[in-house]
Parts: sequence; C-alpha cells; structure tokens
Amino acid sequence: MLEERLLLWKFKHGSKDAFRVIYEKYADDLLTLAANLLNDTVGAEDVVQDVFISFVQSVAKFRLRGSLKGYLATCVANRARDYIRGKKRRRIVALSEAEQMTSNVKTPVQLVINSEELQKLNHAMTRLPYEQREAIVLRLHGELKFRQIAELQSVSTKTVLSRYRYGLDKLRLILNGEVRQ
Amino acid sequence: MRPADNMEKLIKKLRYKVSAETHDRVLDNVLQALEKKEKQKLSATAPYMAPNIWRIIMKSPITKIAAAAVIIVAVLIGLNQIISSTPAFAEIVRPLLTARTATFKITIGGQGVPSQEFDGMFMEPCRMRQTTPGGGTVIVDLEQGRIVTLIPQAKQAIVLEVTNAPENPGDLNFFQYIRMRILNAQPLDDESVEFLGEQQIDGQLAIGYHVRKPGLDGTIWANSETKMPIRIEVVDEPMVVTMSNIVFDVELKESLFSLDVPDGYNVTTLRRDLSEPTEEDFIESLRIWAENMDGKFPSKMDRSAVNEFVQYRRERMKEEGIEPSIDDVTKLQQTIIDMTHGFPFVEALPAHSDWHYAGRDIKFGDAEKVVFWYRPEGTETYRVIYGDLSVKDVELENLPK
Repeated sequence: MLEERLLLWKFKHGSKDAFRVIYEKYADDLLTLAANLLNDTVGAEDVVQDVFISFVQSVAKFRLRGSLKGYLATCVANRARDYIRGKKRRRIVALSEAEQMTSNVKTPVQLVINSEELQKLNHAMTRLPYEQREAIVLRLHGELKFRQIAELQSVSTKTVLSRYRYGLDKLRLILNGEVRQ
Repeated sequence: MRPADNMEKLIKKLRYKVSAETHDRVLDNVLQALEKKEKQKLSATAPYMAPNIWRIIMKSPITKIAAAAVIIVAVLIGLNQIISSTPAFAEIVRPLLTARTATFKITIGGQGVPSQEFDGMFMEPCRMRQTTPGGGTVIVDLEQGRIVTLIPQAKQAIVLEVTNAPENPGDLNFFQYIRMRILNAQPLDDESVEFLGEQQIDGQLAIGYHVRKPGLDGTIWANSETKMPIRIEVVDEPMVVTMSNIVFDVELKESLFSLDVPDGYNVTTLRRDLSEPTEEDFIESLRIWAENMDGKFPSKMDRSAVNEFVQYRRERMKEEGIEPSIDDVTKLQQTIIDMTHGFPFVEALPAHSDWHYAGRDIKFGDAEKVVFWYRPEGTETYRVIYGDLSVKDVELENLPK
C-alpha cells in the first residue's frame, strides 16, 4: 500500500516510469477482471485502456483512499457497464453480426489456462445475471470487499452476498448439468 | 456437487494474459493521452493576461505616463517575492522521494539507544546495503525475504530468512523508513512546516525546515543553491535517525545487493517473523525474556529494553566463564529475534488504550501481581497480564492502583 502511494506521488510529480510500474503491476489483473465481466476480450482491452487514460488524465486531482488496485477495479466495473450499455445501443441501431463475431475470434487477450473445464466455466459465467457475475468477478478477481461491491451496485451488503452465493450456486448447477444448457 | 470454495478456486483460474505487444500498444496509447493532456494544460496557461494589460495600459493616453510607474512597481513586487520566498518544502524533498538509488550515511542515536553509524546504499524497489565501520556488510532485500550479514574478518555469514514481511518495514531499511515518514506526512500545511533559515551544515550553506505532524518529527537541510537534501533527521522517540552525505541516483551495480554468500564463509541461518504481533506474541516475548533473565521481567517497556537483555546475557556468560561458541551466539541471536517479535504489540497500542507496564519488580510465576494492562479497542474492560503470564478481563475499578 505504501509502495502504491509512493508510485502515485512520483507519477503526480511527472515520473512516467512510475506510471509504467503501476501499469505493469495491475494491467493483467484488470484485463482479467474486464474480460470476465464482459466475456469480450476486445472490449476488455478497450475498457482497461480507457480506465488508464482516464486515470492519467485526472491523476493531479486524485486522492487515494484505500488501495489503488481497488480503485482501478471499481473504475473497470463502471466502464464495463458503460461498455455493455453502449454495445446494447449499437445493436439496436443496426449491428452487423460481424462485430459480434470479432469478440470471439482469436485476440491478443487469451485465457492463461485454456482447459475444457475452464472453457465450460467461462461459458457458464455468461449465463449468470450480470449483477451476480459482477459480484463474483469483483470479489474474486478485483479483490473488492462485499461492502465496496455493495456501494458500486447501490445495494446493501446483504444483497451483494446473496447475489454472490446465488451466482456460485447457479454456476455449480450449470457445470453439473442440472440446469439445461 | 462442487463445494463453493472449489468453485471459487476454479473461477480464480479464469485469468487472462496479454501479449507483450498488446501491453506496449495500450501503454503507448495511455502515455500519448497523457502527453496530449500535458500539452493542453500548457497551452491553456500560456496566453496569460499580462500582454492584454500591457496593451490596455499603453493604448490609454491617460495611463501612458503612469504605465512606467506601474511596470516599475510590478517589477519591484516580483523582485521582492523572489528575494523573500523560500524554496517550497516539496521541492526540497522531491529528490529523496523520487530517487531510484542513493548512497548515504546513517547515524542512529537517542537517549538509551546504542549509537550506531553505517554507510548505506539504496536501490529500488526496497533494497539496502549497509557497511559498518568494522567492515561488516548487511544486505536487505525484503522482496526476496532475506537479510544477509557478512563479517569478512571472521568469514561468517548470517542469513536471516524473513517471513510475513510487510510492504515497507522501515526498521530494516532506513532510507525507505525516512522516505515513507515524509511521504505519509503529505500533504503538509504551513502550520506543520517551519522554515529554519540558512546556516552552515556539514560544511555547506544550507536552508532548513522542521516538520512536525503526527507521524513525522523531522528536520531537513538542503544545499542553499542546489536545493538537494544534505542532512535529514527523523525523531522516533527515543530513537533519532540521521541521514547525511546523501547522493541520489548514482550508478550502483546490482551485484552490490546480491544475497549470495561468498565462498569460504560459515553460514548461520536465522528466522524472523515480521507479522503484526498480537497479544499472544507479546506474552510469548515476556516469557522468553523471563526465562532467559532469571525470572525477571524488563525494567521498562521500550526499545532500549533489548539492550538490557543483551547486556545481562553477556555479563552472565562472562560470570560463568563461558566463551561463547558460534552455536551459542547463533542460539542467542535467535532467542533475541523471537523475544523481540512481540514487543512492538505495545508500541502499536493507541494512546487511548491506556496501557501500563508494571513488570519491573515482579517475579515470573507470581499469579497475584500484574505485569501489564491495556484496554482493547471498543471494550470497556481491560486485559490484564499477570506474573504467571495468565490473562484476565478486568473492570476499570479492579485495576491495580
């Protein structure tokens, strides 16, 4: 945490090297977070890039409360929602199937372990209601506390806990074939 | 059915990796956006109002004559500001906070604290090399979880394997310690920074600042011309740490921070747990102390208590005519390490915990006498540790008077 604050301080005072360290430290985690939220690796790259651009542009006014990773993870979650909303709008306007296809072709963002089991899980994740998927992904990949997720989702911590538990239960049912595919 | 924790583990495996080229591309895009923002900022501040004022003044026939006076006044005001202003404190500490490497001298002193002096080198992220006047070298690399001490005269190496290291354990890296103290005190307001004026420090004309804020009581002297820090003193009662002979961003070889023990050295390995000590650890420290000090407890509860322990053990060995072997010394070192683990529990207690230490004249095993008490956060009762190291929750009115 103190290391983060030192890096931030340096970056605020003009050190691009400090920013590079911040980027290298968190980029993979944030991409993982975004890709799991969106199930769209191209979109994940865009979201993470937007989050970092927004971060560097506003760093002068930025005051760190809590961890930097937590802050960036929250930004990714917000951007991911915007991205999904934008994507829905684009679809309504007149979307060619080609654009949707690009989300699933081989991209520079790939699963670290591409086993059959994880592919199934990945697919099962897309079948969860977004709030449940978001609660699970922010908790397990963003390492946010339930309280922080509750703030982000504007619901009570209890509701987030329920979403998290229901989400895990549903994933288990899907993977065990108890929910029709 | 998969248990929930298995499902959580599996989800955690859903990690994505990105090619180096993609990272470079994203990073480039972000840095370009940053540069664009910086340029916009510059161009926004560039067309400042002065030329317009100048034009208005010069166009007005009435003010034409007065213009010269206005300009002179403006110049005088500007000059006065330059003369009377002092370099901002932030400017003075910036080299310290941004240095990648540094060489320096550290002097540790203070009432009851044994005086120490060593030459130090720092390299990011958190490595330090220190050389004592006797020729011993200590290399601290907490990312690797190791502290290696080399004593060339005795061909002796002590490898301290550190577990549960916090991100910035300052006591093991004084450069980082001073840096973090200053960083944590930010932002500093005018009330907490006092300008000390100019005076000769270490043979140089220097300007000084004294900073007093919760968490930082320090003095920084910087060369009057270059504004580079030349002496930094941080008070951490009862300890005073002074850094001098400071050179920032010097080229230092990686090999200087190597943790490899040279051939021909006898290696002793010790272990140190750097996790946050608990009440249980504190009690264990008291137990180790008492067992090694003939049933006594420390005479006082501060950092200098360790010296009492070492001094006592040394004298006991002398009295008993024991010439300590390397094994004896190693055992004693490990005992000291284990014993000191729990004492910071007391240092970390907040003032409102109302802690008291009363162990000075109490014998180990005396279940009636109280050694220590404190009030844990959010409770009305006190935790009381007795001479037999049992613990009870006690109401305020039942505490020893």
